[in-house]
Amino acid sequence: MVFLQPLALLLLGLGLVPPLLHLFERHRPPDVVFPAVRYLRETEREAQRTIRFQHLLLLLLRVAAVALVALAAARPVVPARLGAGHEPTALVVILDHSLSSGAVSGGVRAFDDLRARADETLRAARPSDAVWLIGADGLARRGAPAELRQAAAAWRPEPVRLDLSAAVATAARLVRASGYARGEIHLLSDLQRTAFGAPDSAAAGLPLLVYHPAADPPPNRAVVSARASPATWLAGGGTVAAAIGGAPAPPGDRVAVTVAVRGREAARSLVAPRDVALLAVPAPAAGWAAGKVSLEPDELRADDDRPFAVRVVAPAAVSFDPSEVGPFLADALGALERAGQARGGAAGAVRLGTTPAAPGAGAVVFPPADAVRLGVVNRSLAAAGVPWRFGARVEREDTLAAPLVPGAGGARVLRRYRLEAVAAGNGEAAVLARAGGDPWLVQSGRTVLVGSRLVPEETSLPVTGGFVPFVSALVNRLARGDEGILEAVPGAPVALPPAVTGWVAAGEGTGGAVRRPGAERTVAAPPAPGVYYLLAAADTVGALVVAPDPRESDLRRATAPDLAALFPGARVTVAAGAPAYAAVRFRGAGRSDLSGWLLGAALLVLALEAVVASGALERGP
Amino acid sequence: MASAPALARPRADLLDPHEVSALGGIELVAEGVVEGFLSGLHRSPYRGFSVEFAEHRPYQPGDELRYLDWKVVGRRDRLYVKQYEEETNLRATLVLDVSRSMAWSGDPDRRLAKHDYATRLAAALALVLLRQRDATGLIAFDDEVRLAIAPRARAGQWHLLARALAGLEPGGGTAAEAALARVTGLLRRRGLVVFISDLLVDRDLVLLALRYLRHRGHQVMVFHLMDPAELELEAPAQARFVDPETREGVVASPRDLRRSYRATVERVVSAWRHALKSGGIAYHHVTTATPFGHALRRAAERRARLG
Repeated sequence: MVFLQPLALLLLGLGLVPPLLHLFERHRPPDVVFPAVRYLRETEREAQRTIRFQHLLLLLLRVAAVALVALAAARPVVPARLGAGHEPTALVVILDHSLSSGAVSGGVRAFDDLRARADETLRAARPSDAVWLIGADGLARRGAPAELRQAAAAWRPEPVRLDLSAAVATAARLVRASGYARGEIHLLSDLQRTAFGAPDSAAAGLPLLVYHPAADPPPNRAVVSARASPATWLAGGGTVAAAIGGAPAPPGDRVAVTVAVRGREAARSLVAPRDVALLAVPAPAAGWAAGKVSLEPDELRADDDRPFAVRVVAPAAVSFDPSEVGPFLADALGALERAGQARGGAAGAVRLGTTPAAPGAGAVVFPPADAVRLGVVNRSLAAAGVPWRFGARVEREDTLAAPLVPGAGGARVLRRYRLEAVAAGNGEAAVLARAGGDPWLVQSGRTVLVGSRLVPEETSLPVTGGFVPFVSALVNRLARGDEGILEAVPGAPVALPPAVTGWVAAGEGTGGAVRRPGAERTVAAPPAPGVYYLLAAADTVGALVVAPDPRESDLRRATAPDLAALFPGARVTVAAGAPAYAAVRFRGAGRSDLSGWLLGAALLVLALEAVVASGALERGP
Repeated sequence: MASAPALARPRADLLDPHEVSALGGIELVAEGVVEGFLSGLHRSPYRGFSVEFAEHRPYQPGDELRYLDWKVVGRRDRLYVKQYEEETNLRATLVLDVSRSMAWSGDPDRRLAKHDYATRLAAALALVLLRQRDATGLIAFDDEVRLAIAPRARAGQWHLLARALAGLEPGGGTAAEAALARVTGLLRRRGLVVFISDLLVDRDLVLLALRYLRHRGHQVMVFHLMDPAELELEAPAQARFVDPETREGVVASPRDLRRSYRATVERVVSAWRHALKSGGIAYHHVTTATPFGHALRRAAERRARLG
């Protein structure tokens, strides 16, 4: 016999209440004047034995009623007769093999427990059932139970996040569309609270059987964020910002954090959990570099490391004519030079002004202060092969939208020239920032066009705090042809920059398999965490850092009330442990729930108690 | 002769005692009850008409027609019967229990207390007896004799008895044997003893006294008066039942004892009936819900049987 709600057995203690009330009753009954007391006394003397028996019987019946109700609340189940089956059922099994399912607790990996339950359920399914299996990718696979068992057997914990709310909604749609009179959704998961979205009534009215693993989740530490700061390191090195998350820790607790770049340990520190650590790292050799931030291994290994990417460069050499760029940009370049992030121009330097650079060199081109010279500038751009030109002048206040360029977003633009693509079709993908919906910052090779002069009369950018980082990005990254560093979780859609023609996993070198995007520029991020270099022909122009969703590191579970609230209207049954889960599978087919019988017996006992209490069983002398 | 409207009027002797008692004092109630009771009889209960004329009186339903004075009918066109002096040969004594237990009523709003019922029944009995020209007296007792009126048949005896009954208040305990001993002393000539009590007394002693009276040649009639609530136990789930005379209490649950109690009462009543019957004593079990006419009829029937 198995109890589905074993905590309810505590209610058995209430069975002591009737005897205690009987023993400690100190109630003084009211006085009633009654002349025939002598008859009453005589009656009582003669019926004393009957009354005692009746009271004892009442006591036993009341204790029995309380005990039966308590047992019924505990929902005992026993194996039913052999051969018990179930009606044809539309069954959807959601088997969570997301990153968190790799956590080990009590020597058992959570996923192994979940998969065993899935295997039992699929084994119990019959050919007349319609069966689907949903994995961590959220896709529903329909097949014969044996095929799905085979598929589940091949699964491993993946570094992805499964949105359980969306998976249940998908399962509900499948059950409703199946045409089966009966349906069941089995949610086999470690039930991370962060894996659920907002309350969703998609499964309203459907049975949702939730397996609650018996073992508690282990305490977990994770690197939930790792970034090079700044993203481009110049000579001398930089820092890595790492955030440590996971289970709450007592004050004073510290974890060891290690930073490795290109496979070599570069920094080590002790960091308080739930804190952000800045670790100074000496700059490696110039070029793109992959690194990772690591913790000591714990019960969930998959989130103990987190990759990051950085580009190490020499400070950009810049050349400019102060009369062309204005005093604010000149001052910003001077500041960068003093900080070692730029240096004086020479051959091959990035040129800032109103004319493009020589072929192969970088240039940042601004519109001329004198509108009369605009035609000359456009002709020089065309001559340099730049497919963009300065168009009509716009005098209207707009706000900059520049998600890919640091420091520029949100600045106001008062006066600008509309940037126009000379050849249709190659314009949109090169736009790095927009003002009023029009291109304001575009990139073509190593030439970058800016729609306004960087003076307060045309844009507020020079007087904002993001101006110097913006200028640094212009000269050290954009004018060098860099596409920057993209971040994504495994499998997430990634919009590739226009210049990118492929990517290769870091460490695979030139011999690694280069993956090429198709006509669609949005691709799915690789499933394995790591750093992927973005290629433009043979040049590395950026990096894609694929790392797990940090929400997977929070192993706290949703409770039964949480689940009921998350799926309003659904008939949620939370089965704690394998026996309880087996008992409710296919609405308890193969098992008999004794609750109904016990409640019936309790009602019978209460009816008998009422009969005895009413004196119906009293026997006269 | 009764008129049609008079026939339609409800008879007071058959009404609920509580309703009848609301009509007035003891005298009025007793007269109403007795008039109703007599109108229901086929023949007048008056006996003992002798040859010595005493007076005329208006004809009453039930009077035998042979006693009509036709001369007066012819002269005055009204019905009169001739009444004769008779020699009273019966001396009746009403022995009334006025102990504290008699003051109780299980439902004061709807039923008379046993004491109130007993005094009205005694008054009605006295009126019937006096109309038969029987000398009628009264003894009231609780733990001692509280009142003793010697049996007389004179005209003012009825009003004397009625006033005495109206003035009685329930008193202390019950010691019927002493009262009965006093009755023995008061009844020098053989006569009728009507004992009205709830019989919450020392059974053996009372039986002994009653048998002694019977042994002395008296006719003895016992009215065992109970409240309906003493027959059926109706009380809260559990209560401490207190004897109003002794103040002794018993904690009991009526729900547990209802049936057994009823059986006990039936057994007690049966025991009284058999014990008295074996001693030649008439026994009537009445409750405060029994119409007075029913009680009178039982007494009259028994009286006729006893001669």
